[in-house]
Amino acid sequence: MFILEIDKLTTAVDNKIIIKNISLRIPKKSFSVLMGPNASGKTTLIMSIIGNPRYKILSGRIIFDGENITNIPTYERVKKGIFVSYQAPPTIRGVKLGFFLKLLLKRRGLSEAEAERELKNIISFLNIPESFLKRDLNLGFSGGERKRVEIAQLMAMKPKLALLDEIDTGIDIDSMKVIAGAINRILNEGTTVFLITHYKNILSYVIPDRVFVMGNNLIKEYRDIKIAKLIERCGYGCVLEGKCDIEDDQYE
Amino acid sequence: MNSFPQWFIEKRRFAEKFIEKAPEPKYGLKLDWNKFRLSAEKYYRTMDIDDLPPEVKGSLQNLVFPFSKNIAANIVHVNETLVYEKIIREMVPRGVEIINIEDAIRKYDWLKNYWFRAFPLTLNKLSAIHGAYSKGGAFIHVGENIKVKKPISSCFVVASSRYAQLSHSIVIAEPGSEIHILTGCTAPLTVQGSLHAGLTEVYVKRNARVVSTMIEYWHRKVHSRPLKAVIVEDGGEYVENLIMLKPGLSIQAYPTVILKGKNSSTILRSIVIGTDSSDIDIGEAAYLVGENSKARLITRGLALDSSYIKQRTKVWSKASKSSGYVECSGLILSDKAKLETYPTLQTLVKDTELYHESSIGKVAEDQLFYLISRGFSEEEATALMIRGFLDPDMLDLPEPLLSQVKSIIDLIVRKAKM
Repeated sequence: MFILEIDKLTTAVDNKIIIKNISLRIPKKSFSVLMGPNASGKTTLIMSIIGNPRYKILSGRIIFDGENITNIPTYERVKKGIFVSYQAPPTIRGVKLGFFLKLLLKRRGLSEAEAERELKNIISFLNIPESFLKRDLNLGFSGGERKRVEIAQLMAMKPKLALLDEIDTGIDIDSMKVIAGAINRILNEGTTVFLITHYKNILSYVIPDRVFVMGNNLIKEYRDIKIAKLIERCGYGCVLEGKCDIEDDQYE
Repeated sequence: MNSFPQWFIEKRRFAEKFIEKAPEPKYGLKLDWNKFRLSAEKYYRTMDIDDLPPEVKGSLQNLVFPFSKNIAANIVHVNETLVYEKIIREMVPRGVEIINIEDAIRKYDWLKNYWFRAFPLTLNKLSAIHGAYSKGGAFIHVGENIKVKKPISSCFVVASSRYAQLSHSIVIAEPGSEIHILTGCTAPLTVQGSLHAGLTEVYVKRNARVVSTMIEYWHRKVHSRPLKAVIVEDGGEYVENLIMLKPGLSIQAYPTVILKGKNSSTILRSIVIGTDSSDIDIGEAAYLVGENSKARLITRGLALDSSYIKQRTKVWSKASKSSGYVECSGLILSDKAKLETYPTLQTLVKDTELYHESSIGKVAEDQLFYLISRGFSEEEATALMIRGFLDPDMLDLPEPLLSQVKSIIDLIVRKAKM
């Protein structure tokens, strides 16, 4: 019933421990949000799950869909159905967006014609102009365009679990609405979504089942998404230290 | 020889005398010119490309396009002889002449005005040796306003060992004409210690357009020194695609375009893949002479195995309202490989715009991981990045040539040691 179980995970980057003894469980087909101050290890958590070799797992286990994936290579994890979107996706010169999206669709088993059709659907849903398909991946794309292109890859790959790292940062309200629409669509299609965010804005368009708050090497789970408003008002320190809690929040 | 015109015989004598005092070439691995024979075994003409000796046919198959149905004419030189010629008349209109260079020298006295005009005979020892002893080559003449839509294929095969193939080809595009010439240079695997030094002079007249795509595919025991110079007149355009798929023991090439006419332009693109322990010195130069002339130079070098690549680019200007752009990038994929870029911009006038972008480096880890996290293995992701870096799409090649070039690139990259 859990798509992802993180069990006492400790990860280091360049010999420095970033997250320590973190545990967390995400139910299948759920929608979770992860919030936390800068440098609390949110991206490190996601990179550990996908298996980026820069992020060294020192102890603990990662269980995906009942299987221990702690030591398998990244592309195997991706094949099993994990997708990660990046805060700042890099530019890949010479690899055309259209070619790349079609390649992802075809690797999922779609025929040339099906891939062509699905590609058209995806870009029109995400409001990506057709002329972008001939451009190099992420070259000269604005913040919002890059994030929509990340979602386009997600929609092309149809993963079981989508880890979205600040997909709502640095984008305008139009892109925010498009991306929120896409999140709702993939949730309906049965993908589990795990979203890192700094802002409560996106939560006006998508409604998570739970909010995790991460910081000071601990992780707290809230079922009431009002916590996002509380964080915005009194800050992470206050919430993580337990100085204020949702029960005694007088806001609203 | 005695049937050649007087001007030709005199030019040869002059060149022969000049060899002694000529300087060694400035660029490329030093070669001992005495180690090469200046003539080689004769090959005989066939009517069908399939009747060529198996080793010759096999080497042409590396280039793929000589067997394509999408070409308007097909000529093959082996050593110093034209062995195969097929011209599809529906695609090559009257007024386009494709013949052996020696026949052209005997036929047209005016050829003396083109012989070593674009390329200076006195440049160095190799050009002087060429002037004295060249044998074979193609003469391609496109008449006024004639546009040949499909490419013409012209291939050179070095089929003998310790031999220097010194072919001299001349292309003349008369005013308003258009042509795309595909040149392929290769050798059978059995050939050792040979040199290919094909010299080509191209004359692009008023408002004419010439596209030249040159593919080199050698193996480890051959040196290559393709020599090329181009003169472009008013409103003319010259486009060159230099594709070095397999560089052989060593290669040096520096095609030079003189934009003599007003509003003339050139695009010079090169893709170089260094494999094994090849010594590669490759570049291109554009001289902006005519007012409002434009040059665009784009080079991509990929260093694999223990290859050593030097990329040179040069734009020189004395033309007002002219512009030159150089983009030079290199990618190093092996710890044993070396790659250097030498971009040069020079101007004698103020109202010219010259600029360049240059970058060399290894595969960026963040980009590689980005692709891996989309479900590609490390090899697949690297191949995607290399294909993207070399960007064969930029060459604007007609199909099926583009797909063929892409698949050859994929094959080479897959075989190479990172």
